[in-house]
Amino acid sequence: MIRALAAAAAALTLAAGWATATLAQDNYPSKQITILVGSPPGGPTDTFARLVAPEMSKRLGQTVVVENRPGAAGGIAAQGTLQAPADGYTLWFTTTSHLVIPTIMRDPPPFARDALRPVAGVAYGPGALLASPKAPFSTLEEFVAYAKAHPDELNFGSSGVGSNAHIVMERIMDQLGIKLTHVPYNGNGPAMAALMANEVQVMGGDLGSARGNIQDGTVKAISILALDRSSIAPGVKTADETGLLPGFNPVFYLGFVVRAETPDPIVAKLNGVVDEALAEPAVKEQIEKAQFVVLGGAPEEFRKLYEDDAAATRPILEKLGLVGK
Amino acid sequence: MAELFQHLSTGFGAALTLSNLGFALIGCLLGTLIGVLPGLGAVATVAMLLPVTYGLDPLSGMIMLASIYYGAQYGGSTTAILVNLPGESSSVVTCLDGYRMARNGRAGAALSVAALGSLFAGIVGTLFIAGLGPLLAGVSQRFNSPEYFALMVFGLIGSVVLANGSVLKAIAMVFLGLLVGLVGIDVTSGTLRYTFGSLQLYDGIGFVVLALGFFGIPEIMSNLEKPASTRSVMVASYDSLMPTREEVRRAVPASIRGTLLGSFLGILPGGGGILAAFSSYALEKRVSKTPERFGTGMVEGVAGPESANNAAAQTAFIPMLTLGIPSHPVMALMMGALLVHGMAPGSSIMVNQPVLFWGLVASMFIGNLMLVIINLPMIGIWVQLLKVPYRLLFPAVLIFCCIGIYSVNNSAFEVMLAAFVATLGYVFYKLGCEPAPFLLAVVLGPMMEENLRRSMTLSRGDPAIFVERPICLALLVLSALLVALIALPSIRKRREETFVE
Repeated sequence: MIRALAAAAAALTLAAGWATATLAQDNYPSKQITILVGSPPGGPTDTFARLVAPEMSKRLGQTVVVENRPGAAGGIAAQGTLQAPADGYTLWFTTTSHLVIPTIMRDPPPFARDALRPVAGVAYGPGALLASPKAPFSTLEEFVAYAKAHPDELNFGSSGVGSNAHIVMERIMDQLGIKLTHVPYNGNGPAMAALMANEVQVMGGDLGSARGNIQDGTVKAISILALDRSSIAPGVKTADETGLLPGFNPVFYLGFVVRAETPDPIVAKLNGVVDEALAEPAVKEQIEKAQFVVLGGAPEEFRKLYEDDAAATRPILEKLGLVGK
Repeated sequence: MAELFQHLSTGFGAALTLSNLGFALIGCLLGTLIGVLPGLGAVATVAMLLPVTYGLDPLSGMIMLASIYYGAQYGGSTTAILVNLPGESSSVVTCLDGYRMARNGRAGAALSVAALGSLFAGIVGTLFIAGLGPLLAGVSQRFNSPEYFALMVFGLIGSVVLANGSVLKAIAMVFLGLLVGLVGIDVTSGTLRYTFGSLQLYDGIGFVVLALGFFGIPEIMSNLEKPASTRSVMVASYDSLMPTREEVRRAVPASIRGTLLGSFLGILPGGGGILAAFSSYALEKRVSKTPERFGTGMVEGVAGPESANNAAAQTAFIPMLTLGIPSHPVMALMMGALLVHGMAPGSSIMVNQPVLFWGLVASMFIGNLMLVIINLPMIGIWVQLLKVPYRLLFPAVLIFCCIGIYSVNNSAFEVMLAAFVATLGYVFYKLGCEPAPFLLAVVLGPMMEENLRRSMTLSRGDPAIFVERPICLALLVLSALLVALIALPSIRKRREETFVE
């Protein structure tokens, strides 16, 4: 009797739970949605989140606010996402350097990548290999020849140990068999300044933020780190084209993730809305103006992008002894 | 020269339209307001308004954002003087003598001096941008890692001079500040230091947390421990709001020296504003005939640093506009806004977007003037604020502090951290350990370490890099001289006399 009652109660609870869950999914969204951004205001991550949010809001019929939770290379925003209920009301707008690198580099990791599931990729930015205007080389071929002839002379800058710029350069050195000294700076601004002043001779950077400096000649682009050439520096060959780095395409990408337990219908709905927002001409135009390429597409396409990236990054970090720091 | 006037007339033509004047006014008002509210920074405000500017003409957007930024620098000194709460890092120095002046019944004078000194510095700073921008950008490029290291050494040794009391305690506070500055990710190796496994400490302890925790809140606590009858913040009588002739005579040269120092230090990316204010204070103390009276309400100690930080706030635009390097988080935001408009900051902006560049420069003249016009009549009102009973004033101040701290990173953890820091700050207050050297060490220490280690990496471990470079060597020699000055027995004797008094 008691067992039967318990079973009935359990069944009822389950049913009720299932009912509220479906109800929640059908009503979604019934309140404000928050997008967490792991970097301070300014910069492409924050800018793109604020660009897409109003379009999502229009389509979902609810306010979508962008909240900056800078700190711990995205770790604070990740924590904020994982501590919120898995109901699709808290999204994390993340990037390569926040989603992949810390989970490999830190022990214990600040969060598990598996605890999150992709919603949609938003955009990716092609990279560029930049050099000081005073550097005695202007193409990738010349750079490689110079670096081989003058071992231990050149320095490369980055915006920090384990930053995207650092990892990209390590991948290049690994594939080309050259050795440069890593000089990390506290952020991209100081690193660019050092490049202009020839304190460091090369740096991997994203093309969008270096555009002004490339155009006025305060830094020079010696190679485009993507599969297509760029309108910013049309005369500069891609790394793939030179044959030195076949297929080299270490893009910097941005996209939405949510907690892994978030129900499929909610993820599907969000994915659709992001896709529509990205198709909006004004949004597309602003993203392209910043030299990024619009992504969109199914959630699993975004997962493939970042998991492939993680697979390429892990051996480099292991080799550098940067795993488990 | 003729070319400069032609450029400026283009600029004024663009900035003097009714709508652009309106945006400058909105920016100045908003900036003053957030500057006055302790801890509520320009960064958060500019971030919130950024999307609004996407729909505007780029020049109008820039004018509004820029006026918020320097308006906040302006407003920040008001709370520093009235209630000992530094809103921006550079107003920490203003607390030292500004707050004492207010306690001596000279709040109005201190505020007027700060406002007029800032106006003068703002105009000179803007002239620097207009006339020498590209040239100065070149100078800042000669400052590489070794020079930064030497500059930080100089700044840290100078911070000991800042203290009024015991040199030993000041040095101890500098060391403590260096240790606290270590918290977080080490830039050179990527290793975590003193984070105790907490993600919240990865990026170190925020400056606003420390500034409010060490200056403002302990002041409130020590006021509260007095019986209610003697608790009034200020002396009962308020003298005239305007500075006396004697005060003007002392403030003017201080303001000029501060402006020159600030205009130069502002062009160095990173820490320019706070270094400018601190160096100006140290300089005033050094040239003064009565250095022992600093910290008791000296008008030079307000005029110099206030001019220096405002001049630095203006010239901080130079690296952004000419090199595309942001020297302040607000500059980074403004660069983001320019990028969205499809414009890339850098030397090409002067050539390709002359109306934007010169319009912005012209609007800085207009904005600085506007700020004084807005603020001078307000001084009377601010001073009245001090008549509010303390039992009503202090909870309001505390609430604003909490909002301010929270709004920096949207972090509740930092509010709790500030409560802990304030307890510590109260203990230091009781022990007579001054917070200014501590705060300077927290700001400069990490930059010093980073640049030292970076220089050694660049030289492949050869310390000769520090003596081979003229600017670097000169700064290190100056630092050594400063140490000698501090150690000289005659000076030490005078210091001790002051301390006894």
